[in-house]
Amino acid sequence: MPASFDAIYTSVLILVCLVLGGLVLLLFTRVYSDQKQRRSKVVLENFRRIFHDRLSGSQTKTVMTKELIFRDSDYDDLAYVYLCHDDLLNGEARIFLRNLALDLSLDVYAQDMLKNRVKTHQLLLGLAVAGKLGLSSCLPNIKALIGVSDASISFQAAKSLIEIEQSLLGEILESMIVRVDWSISKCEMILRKIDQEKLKNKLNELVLSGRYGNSVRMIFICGMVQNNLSLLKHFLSEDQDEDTLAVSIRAMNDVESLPQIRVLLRHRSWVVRCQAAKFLERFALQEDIPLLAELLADKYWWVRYRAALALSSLPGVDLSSMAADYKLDTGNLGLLESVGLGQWFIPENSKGVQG
Amino acid sequence: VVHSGKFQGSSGVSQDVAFFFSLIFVGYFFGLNISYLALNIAAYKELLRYKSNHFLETLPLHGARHEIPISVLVPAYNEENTIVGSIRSLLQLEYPEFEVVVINDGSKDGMLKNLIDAFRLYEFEEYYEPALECRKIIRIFRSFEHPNLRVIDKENGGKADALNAGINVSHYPLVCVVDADSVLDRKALGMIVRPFLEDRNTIVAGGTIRIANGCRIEQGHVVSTALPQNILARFQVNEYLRAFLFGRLGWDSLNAILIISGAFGLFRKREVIEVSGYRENTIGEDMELILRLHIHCISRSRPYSIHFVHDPICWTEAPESLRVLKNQRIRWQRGLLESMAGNLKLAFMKNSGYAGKLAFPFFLIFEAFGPFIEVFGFFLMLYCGVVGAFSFSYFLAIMLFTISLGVLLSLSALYLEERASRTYSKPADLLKLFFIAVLENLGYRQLLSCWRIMGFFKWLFRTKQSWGDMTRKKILSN
Repeated sequence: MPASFDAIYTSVLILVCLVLGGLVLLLFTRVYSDQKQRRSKVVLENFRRIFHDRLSGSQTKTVMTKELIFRDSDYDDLAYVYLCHDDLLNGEARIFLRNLALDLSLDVYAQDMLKNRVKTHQLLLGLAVAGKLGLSSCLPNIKALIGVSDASISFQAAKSLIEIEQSLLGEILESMIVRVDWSISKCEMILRKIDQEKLKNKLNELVLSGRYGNSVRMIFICGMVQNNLSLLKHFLSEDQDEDTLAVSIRAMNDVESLPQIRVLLRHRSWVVRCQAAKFLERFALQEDIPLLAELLADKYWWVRYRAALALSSLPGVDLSSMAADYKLDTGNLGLLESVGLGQWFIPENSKGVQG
Repeated sequence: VVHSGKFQGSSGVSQDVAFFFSLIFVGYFFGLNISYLALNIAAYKELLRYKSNHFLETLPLHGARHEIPISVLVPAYNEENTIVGSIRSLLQLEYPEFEVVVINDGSKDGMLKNLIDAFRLYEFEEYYEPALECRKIIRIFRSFEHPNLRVIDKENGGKADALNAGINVSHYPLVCVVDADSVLDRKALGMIVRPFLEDRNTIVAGGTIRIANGCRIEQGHVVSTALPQNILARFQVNEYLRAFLFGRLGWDSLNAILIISGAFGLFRKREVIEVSGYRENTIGEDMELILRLHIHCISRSRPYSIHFVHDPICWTEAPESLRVLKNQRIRWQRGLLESMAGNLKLAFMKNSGYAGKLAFPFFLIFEAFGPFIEVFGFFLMLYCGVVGAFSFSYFLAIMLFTISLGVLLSLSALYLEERASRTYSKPADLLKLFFIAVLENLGYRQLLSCWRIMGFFKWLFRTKQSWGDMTRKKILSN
């Protein structure tokens, strides 16, 4: 028997062993994850039972019984369950929940996770729990994590930091503008937790400093503040480029800006006209009807569409007579478009449903 | 074999030829398996990283209202049995702002009528920018019931042409391409958009494709998963797991993905328009577009990334008959070859990174020409067995060796699946998949290789083939 045959034979044996080993590993993984799932379910049920007792006034001696109910290995699940509940509750129930979390030593868990820099998901859990519980003892560890390159960790650190204290607000806002890997929708989640006046002042400083020019991200972040005209008026002047104007109008949420926006309904750029019409969907007054009706005959579909929507948001507007007044010659597009939203009626000249 | 004197009596030349071929086979075999092993490791690392980083995003109320709006494009041709169910399912997707654009590519059956009846469509005159060339758009319909649904009726021009028309008419900056016979998980859009939110250089993101045969589908959604009954469909379950889990996920960590499935992919519209959209004269328009996007960004030194996200799932029906499967695989192989031949430039570009220097040669050697080596090697081994170049036990040992390696790779894909999403919850399903992984080596893989060789010749001789000739069991019917 040649040596090469022996080599192949041995390799086959090794491979078959590997395959069988792989199969065992696969089945073991399945059994292990099934067990883990079952345990997670038990943790959830126990947590809910204790919480329900707390809420209903029957003070289960959680501190006495927790060792019996929860194991050390349950704390990842427990932290997760706590966060799920915290996101869904408010008012007094949330205070009960917080006290329960402290009784269950979730604060100690969070501190451990932050100190020991464990696995990423545990670190994220630790950060989130520390933020929800307002653990100021964790501040140095959290601050150290804001600058890390991993976006999920740095973002969660910023969020938790804001929940605990807001002294680093300026730096966090700058990070929001610079760090494109923090999605803008997530940034809003942080901004909602901050005192709006304080936020406005800090942002105003940033806008006036001119450090970030007409950064789209900065404009969007300004747009997340309530009554933001004072922040955005700088970007709304007609000499700004069309992108800045469009983004600023989209970000605007202050009715006081209506006079400035009306002027932009006749801007040379259709993108700006479209955004201005969209703004009027929320804030239009009766006196805006003629301006909006003009836009029903705009060359661009999006502008017509938004104008029709804005008009349909005003009470007592009769689009069919308006079509006659303004001699809409493009198949009553404005009408069709509003009908397209299913809000109005089937126009007589519509070709209707055809096979 | 050669040097152990088995070819006694053969001339020196034939010994040299045999030695040359054996070198090619050994090189191919080790190259392929080492590449797969490396992809497996990369995929595993990427999976762990992704799951850890997005761990808290599974919390309720997570996510917000500022996701980028998406236009879902559904090109369709003669899909009268499935289209209404598919569109109903798409309209139920959970995403803050999206529209569904169905493109009827000149269907000859009752598809358009079914759509008009089911969604109360009416003709709607609409202005759009013809940014991409496409056949004439005859009519645009809107729905009385769903403001975010539009149907485009256009002249027949093929899938690529239909997609270009859809891109022209779409309203939003991201376009999601979905096959008309597929079903998306409700949260799929929210998941597939993540790379665009986290990395502004993202231009394409692809999701996972899974096989819907055997699953229970209610109201256009998969409510419970199970393995298909049909053996061919079962073979394909393993294939898809391997292709998507360690195939795409592995390449993702190197930014070297060359294929995003045409059944479910999300594109930034601006870049697609810059490269003139989908190319009509190719069958594998999905891969072809990705290759051109690579070339486009590299040639402009523009930072870009193409991602694969494993958790958004698109369910599709796998062929259950040999005839349909054969057509599909021939088409895929033709598409692969057309795409690679038309974009060879990628491999020779400066700074083409892993995409040009690693993934492209990998696809060329192991995917484009691999079937020849596999089939030739198999028959050569048989021949050697018959002429007595080596014994039956030798033949058996080599076969066992290759089968074991194949099974090991399938097992690793199953392991990744177990860690990623546990689609098949019954432990018995895992065992069944394991046996399928063994069984597929005894004929199925060889058959696939033969079909791929046929695909090669059809590509070589430019045989005409159209899209949409796939008959199905209609498990996703209206």
